[in-house]
Amino acid sequence: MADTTTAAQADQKPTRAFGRQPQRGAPQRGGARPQRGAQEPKSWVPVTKLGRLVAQGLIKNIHEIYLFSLPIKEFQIIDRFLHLKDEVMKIVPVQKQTRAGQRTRFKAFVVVGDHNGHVGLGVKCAKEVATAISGAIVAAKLSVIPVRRGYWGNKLGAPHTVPTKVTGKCGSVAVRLVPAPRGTGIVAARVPKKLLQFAGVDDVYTSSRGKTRTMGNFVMATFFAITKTFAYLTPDLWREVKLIKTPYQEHSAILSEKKE
Amino acid sequence: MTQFPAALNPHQDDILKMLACQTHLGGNNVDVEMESYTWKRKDNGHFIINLAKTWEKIQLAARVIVAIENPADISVISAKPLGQRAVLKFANFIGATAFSGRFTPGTFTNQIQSKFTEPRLLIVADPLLDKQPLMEASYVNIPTIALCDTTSCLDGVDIAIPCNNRGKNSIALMFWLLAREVLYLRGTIPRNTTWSVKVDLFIYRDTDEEPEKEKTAAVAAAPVAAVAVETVEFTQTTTEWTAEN
Repeated sequence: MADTTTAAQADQKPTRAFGRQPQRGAPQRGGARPQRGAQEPKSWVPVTKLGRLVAQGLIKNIHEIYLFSLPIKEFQIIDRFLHLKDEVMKIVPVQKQTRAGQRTRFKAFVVVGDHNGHVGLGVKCAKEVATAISGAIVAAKLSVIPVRRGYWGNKLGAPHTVPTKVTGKCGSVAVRLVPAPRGTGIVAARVPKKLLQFAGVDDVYTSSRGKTRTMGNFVMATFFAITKTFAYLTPDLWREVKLIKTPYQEHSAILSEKKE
Repeated sequence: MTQFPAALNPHQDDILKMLACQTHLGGNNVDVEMESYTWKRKDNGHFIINLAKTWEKIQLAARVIVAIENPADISVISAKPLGQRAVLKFANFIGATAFSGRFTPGTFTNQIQSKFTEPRLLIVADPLLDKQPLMEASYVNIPTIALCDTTSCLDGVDIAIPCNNRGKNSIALMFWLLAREVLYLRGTIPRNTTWSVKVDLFIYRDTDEEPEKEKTAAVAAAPVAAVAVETVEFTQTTTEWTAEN
């Protein structure tokens, strides 16, 4: 209903924002997309150990990486495991005062997600809109986090809502996510709704506080809240888990070979 | 500490070495987390470090080092000059990677840097002066071993080896003991044999700043056979110099 129209509108919004800007924005944005897609599979040379392991296919699942909290420095790692959709939330022009007038740069907020348990949020500022967007997409991919979903009531079917009440804060904005019964949908403002959709959360109640018009903080706050779903120790996680070797240890031989 | 098998106990020579190098002399203050490693406070205010605990932590640290399959993944760091020779020698004998001099910020975190390294273990001579590598290690999931004085803050340190990290002899001895223990554990040297390499090789030397070749290790080994009490260490350095020159 209302959801679908806003989803459709959201795609158009950034172009409307460009309309305000002297036309630099629009043509570049169209041009950026095809380039990105062509480059990725061929030219990636991994720089980090993790990158090397992933490129060789030694890591089967992204959750192996999450289990050990390994920092992900190369966005191609994420691309290997997840098929992510991205969406530009907002492009804001920001200015800095110089002797010769103002220097304008564009800050892009991009949400990335697979609508099924993984979201990422990226922010990038650059002189050109297209650069900002592609940079933000990279940043978003690097920040991808698993989302834990749970049940509101009976554990029938797949998890559909947040497992517990969680809250995230950024700046003055605090966003609270509250579990909701199946069929509720995402009860949230446009901004957090987008993020939650990308996360794959079906039903939530939200509550926010602070200057939510500061979109940057609003998105970050929801993102932090979503991140906390897996940080929360619920009783079903109390059982001790056997120690597993980290991928760096397990594949130590292979990693050391490559160096020489 | 209480129920260890006798084989893990230090030998008398080891304790004598530690006393000779003054590793038991702590600072004037104690950091809260280092309190359990102190033995007593002298009348002049200086703390005495419990050498039994120092020994224990060396044993623990050595076992951690041995557990790393590829020793090149171990980074040994000393910002302060007093520890640089020890760090280099240690890396030499263990097969680790030594960083001496300035630790460029971003070495562990900035993947674009040419010096970008991803070690599995970090060994540090002083948590205060080597704060930068400790901090970066915390960003990249690297466990850390550090030689800590009574005044050292243990932020970011996983295994603290309580000792005097202000004296060159002490630092040298600690790295020597660690190296020796690792070599014992690996089986490179049979236990209850004296290691042919002397502590002097690890001691900082003012005049010569370049890392030495292993010839000097052989030279250092020549002068004295296994002597129980190594209080004579300081004169041995002169023997080494004359042999080179």
